[in-house]
Amino acid sequence: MERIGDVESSLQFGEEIERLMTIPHESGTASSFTALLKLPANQAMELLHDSSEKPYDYSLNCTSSSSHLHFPSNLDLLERASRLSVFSTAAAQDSPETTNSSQNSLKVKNEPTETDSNPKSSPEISDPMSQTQTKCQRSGKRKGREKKVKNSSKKSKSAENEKPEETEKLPYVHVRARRGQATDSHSLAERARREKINARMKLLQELVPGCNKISGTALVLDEIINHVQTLQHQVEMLSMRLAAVNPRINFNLDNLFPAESGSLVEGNFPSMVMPLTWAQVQPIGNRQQQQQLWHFDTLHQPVWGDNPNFITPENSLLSYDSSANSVSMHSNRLKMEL
Amino acid sequence: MVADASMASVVGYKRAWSRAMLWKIRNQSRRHGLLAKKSNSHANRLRKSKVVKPKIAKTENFDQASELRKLVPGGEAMEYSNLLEETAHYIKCLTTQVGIFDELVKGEIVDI
Repeated sequence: MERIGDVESSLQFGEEIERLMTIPHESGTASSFTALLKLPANQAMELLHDSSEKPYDYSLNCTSSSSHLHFPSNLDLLERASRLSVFSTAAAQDSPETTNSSQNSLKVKNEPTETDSNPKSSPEISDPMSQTQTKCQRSGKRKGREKKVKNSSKKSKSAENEKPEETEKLPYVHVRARRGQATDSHSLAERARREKINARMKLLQELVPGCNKISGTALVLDEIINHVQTLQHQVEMLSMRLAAVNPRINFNLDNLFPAESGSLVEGNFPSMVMPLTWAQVQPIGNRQQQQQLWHFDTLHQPVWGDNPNFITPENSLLSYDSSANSVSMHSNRLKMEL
Repeated sequence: MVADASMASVVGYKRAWSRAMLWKIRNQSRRHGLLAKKSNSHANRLRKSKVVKPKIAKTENFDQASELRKLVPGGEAMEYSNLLEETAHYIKCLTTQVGIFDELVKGEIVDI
């Protein structure tokens, strides 16, 4: 990644002054030093913005990165600089690893307070660097988001803007305490839970058409409920319509419960044919093939005429893991009977 | 009911709502005497995957949550965050199923 190469050069702060970005910084601490250190911060933000293109798991990244625009503190910038330098040295170059490290860089650590006395000297940088290196190695898990639990009373201004991120994969959750927020475990857990719920709500909003514009959880939920009801009604109507057309013979629920090796209806031959042809129908709207299927079906109606058997292989598309899995599932069932 | 059964069977036991739906259908069909056999091993497996009642109910949006629980199969016994996830998956499945049915109906009209 070119960005990592850039980070290496950014250790020489002098050249990077020109690369002060358009991202507005807090002008509160506009000393030359912080100007220098803002550059690695920008790098961190770039990296974070990079990761924001990734699936929604990382969406929290984006929001927290935007909040980091207001980082004034020297400590944090120093910390981030050290972590960014870790990127170049760290062995793992996977993008999840870098995002993990970049998220580590968001942490405000208290250790650098001691090193703050001589921020410009590189040996100081190497100290948090070694620390972060060990931490990066320790937390080197895919998708692992780690925060440090620091219930310290010393909360810098930057901590206020830092949003806690969730660890969904790691067995423990380290949460950064925010300024002015309670730090006991209950509220932390509560906050983590709330973040989880908000993430899921966001996903639902994307799923339901027209929900993006609505603001406010209650209305969004109403919309979601409405949508689910609509879909259920649609399914009901369409299935009744189809049932009216296709006479239903011998609907055997034994098909559905794999533990039972019940006698299955003969009409399983189409279930083998169907998944294969349905794979072509993936872009829905391929009407001609379906007409052929229907003709095929009506010819053999007495043998196959089951609606459910008919539907089941089609619904193999519904398996979101992969259609291949469901096809193999069907073929397994067939083997069971034969 | 049939469409639900087929949809749930394809998803299998990977999702809470599909488990709940299959469980419900199995019970219904047992009552109607449609099932030839009873499978106890599966029943045990389903029992293990049943979840306890939610300990924490999110206080805001409580009405909508209860409404949603009625809609999504198996939603009664889930926590709120799980409920939202199950709803998302359920919506996806329903949407696909509606699409498939639409195509079927379009094809059907010609045949009759």
